[in-house]
Amino acid sequence: MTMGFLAQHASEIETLTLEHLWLTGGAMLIAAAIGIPTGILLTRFPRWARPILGLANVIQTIPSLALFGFLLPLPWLGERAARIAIAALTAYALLPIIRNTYAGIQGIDPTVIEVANALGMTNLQRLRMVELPLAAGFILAGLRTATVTCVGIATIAAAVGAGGLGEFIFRGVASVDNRLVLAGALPAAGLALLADGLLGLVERRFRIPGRA
Amino acid sequence: MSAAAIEFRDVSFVTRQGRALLDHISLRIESGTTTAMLGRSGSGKTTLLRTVNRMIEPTSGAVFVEGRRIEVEDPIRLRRGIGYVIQETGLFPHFTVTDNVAVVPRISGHSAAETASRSHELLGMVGLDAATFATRYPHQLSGGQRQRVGLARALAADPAILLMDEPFGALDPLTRAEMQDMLRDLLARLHKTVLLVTHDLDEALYLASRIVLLEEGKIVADLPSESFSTSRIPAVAAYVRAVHRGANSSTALVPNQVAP
Repeated sequence: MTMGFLAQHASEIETLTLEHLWLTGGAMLIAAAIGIPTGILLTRFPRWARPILGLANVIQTIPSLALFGFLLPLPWLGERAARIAIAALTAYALLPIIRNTYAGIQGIDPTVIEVANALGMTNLQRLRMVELPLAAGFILAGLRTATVTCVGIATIAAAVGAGGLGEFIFRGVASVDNRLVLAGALPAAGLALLADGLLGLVERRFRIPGRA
Repeated sequence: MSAAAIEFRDVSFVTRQGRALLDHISLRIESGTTTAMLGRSGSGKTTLLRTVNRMIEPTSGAVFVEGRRIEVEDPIRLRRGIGYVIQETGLFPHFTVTDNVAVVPRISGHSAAETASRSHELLGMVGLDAATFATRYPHQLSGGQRQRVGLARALAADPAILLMDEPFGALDPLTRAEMQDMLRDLLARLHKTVLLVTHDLDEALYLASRIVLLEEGKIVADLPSESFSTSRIPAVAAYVRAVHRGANSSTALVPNQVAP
C-alpha cells in the first residue's frame, strides 16, 4: 500500500521537493546577499546595530502562518506567489545571518584588529584578510541556522499557493490523510538535515587553527 | 639641525571625559637611537607611543616623523613604514608564521613569491629556524617564539622606526632575558630608531640609551641611561627605589629607612 502510494506520488514528490528547494535556496541567496553586507556595515556603524537587529528580531517573532496570511489579500498574489513567499522567507532568514555576521566580527580579539590597523591595512584589507576569515565560522553558523529555519517555514508557503512540500501537508491535513502529511514532512525534514550537514562540513573547513 | 626621527611638539591628549592622558609633551628622538619610555600604568607612555603611527590623534600639538607633520600624511602609508610590536603580539591566528611575517609587504602589494625568501631571512634574524617554523600557526608556538615572529613582522618592511609597547612584558624572566639579548644584538646591527615602552627599569637600562620617565601625562625626567639610576630627581629616585625593593630588603634594610 505504501509502495503504491509512493509510486503514485513519486513525480509529485519530486516536483514539490524541487519547488521547495527553489523557494528555500532563492530566499537564502537573497538573504545572504543582504544579510552579510548588512552585518559588516553594522560593525562599521555600530550605533545602527541595535535598531537594525531589533527590526530583524521583530520580523522573526511574527508567526509565519500569520505573515503568509497577511500576504493572502494581495491582488497580484496568484502567479507571483512563489516570489512573495521567497520575500517572506528572506525576511525570516535575515536575523540569524545579520546577527552572526555582526557578532562574529565584533567578537574578534580586539588586539588582532588593532594590530591590523597599526600595520597599515586598509579597511577592505582588514575585512578580507582578517575579519571575514576569522568570523567565517560564525557567519556560516548563521547561514546554517537560517537555512534550516527556512526549510521548515517554506512548508507554510503552500498556504499562499507558492507550492513546495507544504502542499502535501496542507492537503493531508484537509483530507485527514497522514500519508500525504508524511509525504510532505519527511522530504522537508530530509532537506533540513541535508542542508544542516552540508553547511556543517563547510563550517568545519573554516575553523580557525588552534581553536576548538 | 637635521630633522629628528620623531618629534613631539607640545602634544596633549585629553579624553572625552576631560582626563589629560598627555599633558604638553615635547620631545625629540634622534635617528638610530633607542629611547625607553618608563612609567607606571596610566602614565601616558603607551598613549604617547600610539600618536606616532596615528593610532591616537593628539587633541593639540603635533607629531613629526622625519620632519614631516604626520597629521597631514596618509595614515595607511605612515603605518606601513613604522614597525609595531606589542605585548600580546597580535599575530593573526589564521596565518602561518610566514604569512604573519610577510603581512606588511603583502598588503603593500608584493606577491607571496616575492616575500617568501625575505620572510625566511627575517625568521633567521630573530633566531627562528625557517624550515621548522615557517608553516606553523601561532597557537603552535611558545610565548617567546610568538614574540620573535611579532618582531620579524615589524621588521619586514625594513622600517626606519620601531615602536615597541612592552614587547616582553608577558614573558617569564629567562625568556625575557633571551629576547632582550636578541633584540640588543639586532639593534646593534640595524640602524633603527626605537621607541620602547616598558615599566621594567632593567629592560630600559639594558636596551635604551635614553630613558624618559612619564607621570600623569607629563615628562618628569629625561636622562641618558647611565645616569638614570643615580639621578636625584625625586620621581626617578622613587621609581628606582620601588624597583629595587627586593634587593634592598634582602640586605636587611631597616623598615622606613631611606637608602643613601
